[in-house]
Amino acid sequence: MQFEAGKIFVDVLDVTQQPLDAMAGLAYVTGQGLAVRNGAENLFVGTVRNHNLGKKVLGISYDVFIPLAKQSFLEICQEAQAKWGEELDFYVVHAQGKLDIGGVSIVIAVGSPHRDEAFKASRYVIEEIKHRSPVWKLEHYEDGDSEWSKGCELCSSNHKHEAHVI
Amino acid sequence: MHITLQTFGAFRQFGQNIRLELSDDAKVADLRSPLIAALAEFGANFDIAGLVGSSRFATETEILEEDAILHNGNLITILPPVSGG
Repeated sequence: MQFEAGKIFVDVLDVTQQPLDAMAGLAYVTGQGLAVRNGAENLFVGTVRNHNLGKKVLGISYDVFIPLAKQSFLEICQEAQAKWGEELDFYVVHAQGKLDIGGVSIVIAVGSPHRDEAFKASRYVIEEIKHRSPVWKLEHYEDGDSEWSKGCELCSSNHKHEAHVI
Repeated sequence: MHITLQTFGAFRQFGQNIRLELSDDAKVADLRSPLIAALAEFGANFDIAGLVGSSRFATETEILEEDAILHNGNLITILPPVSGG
């Protein structure tokens, strides 16, 4: 069968207008009918939990530098293709705006001919986004206070992350 | 020359943009001192100098090296430590 390069879709959505759709990500990397060429689809969904560092959380507001964030998502997916196969398909959508507990903050779907690459590429994408993509969380607490997450310090080069605190 | 700094994350409380005056041969690393001085006037509930020190600067397409040369009128974005996902 002729080699076919994988496809990549990245976006940032204002979740006050439209919630993220995990199933849309899965459908994107699965394909349809006779065009289905992947045998393994891995779906990662990030959601807002009700606690962090001992505090009760009511919600999180996500601030995103959209052009650079989308570019970083694209570069990270391309790196994953270089590592685990140019034929891998990726769907990465991150939330912007305020989410309540249980709200979906990120959807990462990876399609691959085989499961090992799908798991590894999915893990790579979420870890690199946490370290490199320009996104910031403002946590809203039960006591009415809000606080920006400490986060990971960026390096000048996009491809290194040494000093980080999560 | 003047530089407009676009803010994100914890720097949002200081406004969407901060205008800085710098010498004509200024580089990216030279943004920090005048920025810290400008923000100190506002006051904050965190260590301003510490957060500026752990932040990077970027355009819409790349994170800038510390020795990158700035130009009059540049729009630069400050990136405090990130916490996406």
